[in-house]
Amino acid sequence: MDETEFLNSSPTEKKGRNKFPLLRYEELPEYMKDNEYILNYYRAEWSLNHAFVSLFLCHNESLNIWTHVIGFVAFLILTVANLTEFYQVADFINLSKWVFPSDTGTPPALIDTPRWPLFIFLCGSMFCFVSSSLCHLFSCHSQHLNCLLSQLDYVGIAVMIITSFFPPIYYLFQCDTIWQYVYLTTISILGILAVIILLSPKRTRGKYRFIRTIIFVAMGLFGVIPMIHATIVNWNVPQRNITLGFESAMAFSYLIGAMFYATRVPEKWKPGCSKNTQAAFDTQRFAASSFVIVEMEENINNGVEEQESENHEQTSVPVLNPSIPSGEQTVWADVASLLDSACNDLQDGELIHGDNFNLFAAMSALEIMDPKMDSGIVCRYYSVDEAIEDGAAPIPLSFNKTVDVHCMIDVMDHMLSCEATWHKGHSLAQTIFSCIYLLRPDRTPSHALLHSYCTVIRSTCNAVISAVSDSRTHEEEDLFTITSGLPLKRDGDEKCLSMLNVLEETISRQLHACKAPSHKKRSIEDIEPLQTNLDLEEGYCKAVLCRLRFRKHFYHVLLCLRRPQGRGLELARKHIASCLLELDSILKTEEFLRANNRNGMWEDGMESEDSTTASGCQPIGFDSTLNSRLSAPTPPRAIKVFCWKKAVEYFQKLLHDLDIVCSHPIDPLHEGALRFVVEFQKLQPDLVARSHLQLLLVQDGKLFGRDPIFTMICKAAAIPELAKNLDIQKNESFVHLCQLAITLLKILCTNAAWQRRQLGKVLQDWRIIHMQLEIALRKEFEESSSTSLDENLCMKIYKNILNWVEEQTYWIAFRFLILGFELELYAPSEYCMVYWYIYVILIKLGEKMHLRMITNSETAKRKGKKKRESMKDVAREPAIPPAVLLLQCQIYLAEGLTLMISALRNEHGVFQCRGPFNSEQERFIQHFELLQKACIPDHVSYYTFRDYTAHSQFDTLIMCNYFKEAQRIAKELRGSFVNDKNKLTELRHIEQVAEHNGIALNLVSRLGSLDPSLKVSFEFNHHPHFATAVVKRS
Amino acid sequence: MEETTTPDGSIVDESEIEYVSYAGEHHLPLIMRLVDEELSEPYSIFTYRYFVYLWPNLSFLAFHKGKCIGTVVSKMGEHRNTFRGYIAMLVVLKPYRHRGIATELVTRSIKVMMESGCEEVTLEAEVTNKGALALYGRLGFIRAKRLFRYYLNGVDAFRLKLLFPHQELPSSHPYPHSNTVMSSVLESYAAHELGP
Repeated sequence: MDETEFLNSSPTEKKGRNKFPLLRYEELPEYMKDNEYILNYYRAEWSLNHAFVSLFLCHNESLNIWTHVIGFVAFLILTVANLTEFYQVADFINLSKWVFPSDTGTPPALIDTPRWPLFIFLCGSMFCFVSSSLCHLFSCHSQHLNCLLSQLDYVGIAVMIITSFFPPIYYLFQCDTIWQYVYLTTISILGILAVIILLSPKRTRGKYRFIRTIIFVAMGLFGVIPMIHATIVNWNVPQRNITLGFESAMAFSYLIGAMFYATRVPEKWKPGCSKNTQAAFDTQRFAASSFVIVEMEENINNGVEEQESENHEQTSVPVLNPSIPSGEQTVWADVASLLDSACNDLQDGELIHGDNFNLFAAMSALEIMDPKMDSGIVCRYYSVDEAIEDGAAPIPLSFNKTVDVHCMIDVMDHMLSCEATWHKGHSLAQTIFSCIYLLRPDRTPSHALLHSYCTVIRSTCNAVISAVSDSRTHEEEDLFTITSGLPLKRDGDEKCLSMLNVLEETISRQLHACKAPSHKKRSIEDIEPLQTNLDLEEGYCKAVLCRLRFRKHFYHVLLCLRRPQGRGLELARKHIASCLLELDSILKTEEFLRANNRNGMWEDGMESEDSTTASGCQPIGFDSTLNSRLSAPTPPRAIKVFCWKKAVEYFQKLLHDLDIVCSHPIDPLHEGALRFVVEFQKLQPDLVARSHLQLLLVQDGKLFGRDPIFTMICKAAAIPELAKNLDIQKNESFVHLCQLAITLLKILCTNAAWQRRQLGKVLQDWRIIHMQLEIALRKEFEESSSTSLDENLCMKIYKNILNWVEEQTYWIAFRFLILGFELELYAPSEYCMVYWYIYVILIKLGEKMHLRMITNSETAKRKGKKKRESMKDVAREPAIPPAVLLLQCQIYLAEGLTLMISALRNEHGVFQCRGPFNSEQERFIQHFELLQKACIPDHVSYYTFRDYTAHSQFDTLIMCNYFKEAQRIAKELRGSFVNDKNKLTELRHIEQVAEHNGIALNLVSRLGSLDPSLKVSFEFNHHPHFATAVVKRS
Repeated sequence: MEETTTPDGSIVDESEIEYVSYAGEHHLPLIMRLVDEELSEPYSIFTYRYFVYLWPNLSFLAFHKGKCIGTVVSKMGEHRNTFRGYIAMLVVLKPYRHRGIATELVTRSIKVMMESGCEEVTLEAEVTNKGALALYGRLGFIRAKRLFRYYLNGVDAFRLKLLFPHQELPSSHPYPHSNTVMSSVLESYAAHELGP
């Protein structure tokens, strides 16, 4: 049966059969001839009523109309469902709220994401379907309406394409609003342009089919740009491929549809078979919308993580790449919006509290001023590149050569100030490496002066860091050696000295050239001057030269100090002398630099005293906030970079200290080394100097890298030479003892606070080694007791070594106690017990020392029996050695002070330890806990102290004046220490303290009971740890 | 000195000072204001909450005519096998100093610690803070350690310690620790009860 007839015979059509027949292509009016491959079943010139009724009829547009109507209805349902949050239907496109998968037991958090892009898309689609349905339904009415509706249809398609971009672009670039705006604006503009083109009437004609197609394809293909962008940005997101797949499918379907439309396949291939003009376009349209939806569903199913991870990538990538890439099981997630919404639920100052998140955890999580935790820390630049782009560190520093040199000198000076600040215990990242030039070493090679200076600074830093970290003298200054993330080492840095030499040579020549008298200038004119202003040439050359030379010599000093076995010490001293000379020259250049300040005047707000440069100018290329994220795990300390003058002073002190280290004779005596360190510490040397002393003293577990510690101990303990051949040095206890001796030397090189704590800890070890040695030696003694000669020898070793260990122990204890004065750990009311303990320890120390010296001299006597000079010694033998007598002075002072203070307590009621919560005993226990634990000395407790001081009275004290005794011995001893400057100073101090205290004692004992207004206080103006009594009338 | 004059001219009578234990949220802003004004270290609100929520019984405030003029904030807990108290913040407004208000505040807090079974009390003070060092010295604290560059401003600190006497003297007691160990266990249990 003919299809036309069948249609015509349908009951509804019967009435208008003649009036509204279905036509063939040839019969159509000209304006409707659009697709010559669709041959039959056209409606033409139908009334509006009939056209509406034809909705339910069968013709070549039926499928077109119905597919669009159904599409419209489907989208309408989705929109309504989404608006009413009807979850069952809508949850696959429900973007409004995501439930965060919670495995931590915290309440699920909800995130509000704007839904408007989705609605725009839904509305656009609905508009498209409606317009298309209307077009297909009513275009058969008239030419005018046909033209109008076709335009509407094309506009609908354009609108749909545009709006279909809104959700993907919006959600993909949610964290990068700039791109959101860029892409959405572009697509909107493109769409509006397309609509304008499409609305010009002549374009509706069939021959413009190709132009229309191009417009639509162009709009569709535009989507490729944000898609590629998003793909690159989200490369590490696991869902990348899925998203990419859907996006490609969408693009593909657009293209397929456009192709069908443009080529009019399949009608073209089999004209007459298809009733569906625009089925292809519809396919495209449906494919597009469904893929967009599926894609969104994907996002929803993956929950917050995927969405957030995309967002995170977008925000973080432009700033920095995450150092840890996403794995199969992990993704990077930006939880900022999640936290935002959680924060909105919290009141100011409220804390989250859960079973596994208590207040302590909350406290630990919040580190105020920790740059990693505290987002509130403000930085001028957030990356080095940003700073460089902003012109914070130009190379050259200026195109004017004179200004360039001047700025370079400022950089050098500021760097010196930074270096001193770093040495004083601040972090490297916040001091030297606040220099942007140092942070980007690859930029500097074009500027010879800058490059060589940066290189030598890096090398110097490395040398200092290695010295400090090798010596481990920096326990509490741990900021010092943290270098993570800083470009400290660069290939070619080892050439820094040759680079400096070349530069020094050049500038010397330039200096020579400008100094040369004018008639000679011609001959040397080929030398290019350092800068352009010839009047200032000499000054600038000198200023640069002394700075470069200082760096060179300083680096040499550091290298020489590290030579094994102290072989470089002499050379180091020469370089130290040169360094100090150069520092003087540097100081002299200040006047010149200030006069030729690059602004020609003082900078505002810059006090000349506070300036970090000689010229008083702010240096170029520094930003201390840049590295705040790299600095130590502790909060950054408030940094005030040393002023330039202070920095120079610091280096002068450092060099003097290092000179003293170098001047120390390589003396294999243990006692000498100990005494040297203690004397050195009195100068309060800083970390760098102390580290070098320690490295010099202990190398490879040997004293000065030369003498094994065992030999050193043998010498110190006066053990006969024969012992060295015995097996005892392999004995475990001896190995341990050697380690303890090394540790002691190292501890003495640390700062006072740390030193005291460590000394207190090792006391116990020395006590234990004493016991172990006692057992070990007794065993040895029993085994080798077969021969009488050995027996004698072993007894000697046994006695000497144990005596030496005890002497060391008491020496450590004494140092532990007196460091308390240096650190101001004792209150005046506690002086009494402290001096009593010092007195007790000193007695023991003196005892052991005397014993050792007697044994020593016996050994020496035996050796030197045949020598004539020894006769004199024999005559003097019964006398006590001067070192012991010096100790005796100190014992008298300690005893005198103890009894004087206790008499004051007993008779005047002052200096008593009374508190509401505890008694003097608790203070005693706390102060001497470590000594008591190690039984140093044995059988001493608070009760011993109490009994000793309980009956102290002034009238008995005055009878045996300890201070007078101390003064007398000190005077006599002067002659014994003629060559020892340190001992003479000590004696003088002791005399002064003894004299003053003797007078005070007399005064108080005579007048004290009569004059109650007499007040006694104690000061340390004559001796660092023996107090002087000051008596005043209040 | 019984009576002194405040900057605004009114006379402070020692008996007018009122001491109260921390009694809830309304006290928190008072404490925060005082500490922010007078101490060098910056603290966040969470630091305050940590202390006053877990150990409200150790925090005290001093009021004069309704104005909060001083406060003490402390904690206590196990530390290396000893049960110790820790005084975190002690503040008295400048015009009200030198009349025993700080001593009274800190004494109240230490008393609670002692009754709760603490063996010792510790705190840190800047070496330059002579007033605080003298105050704690009078209460029986010793300077146990010097902490090198302890504070953010680069100043050294002293670690101060107050050891409470043992119940019985160690020399006469055969097992000097049994008693205190037991009580500290009980007290630490009690202390946990106080927690959230």
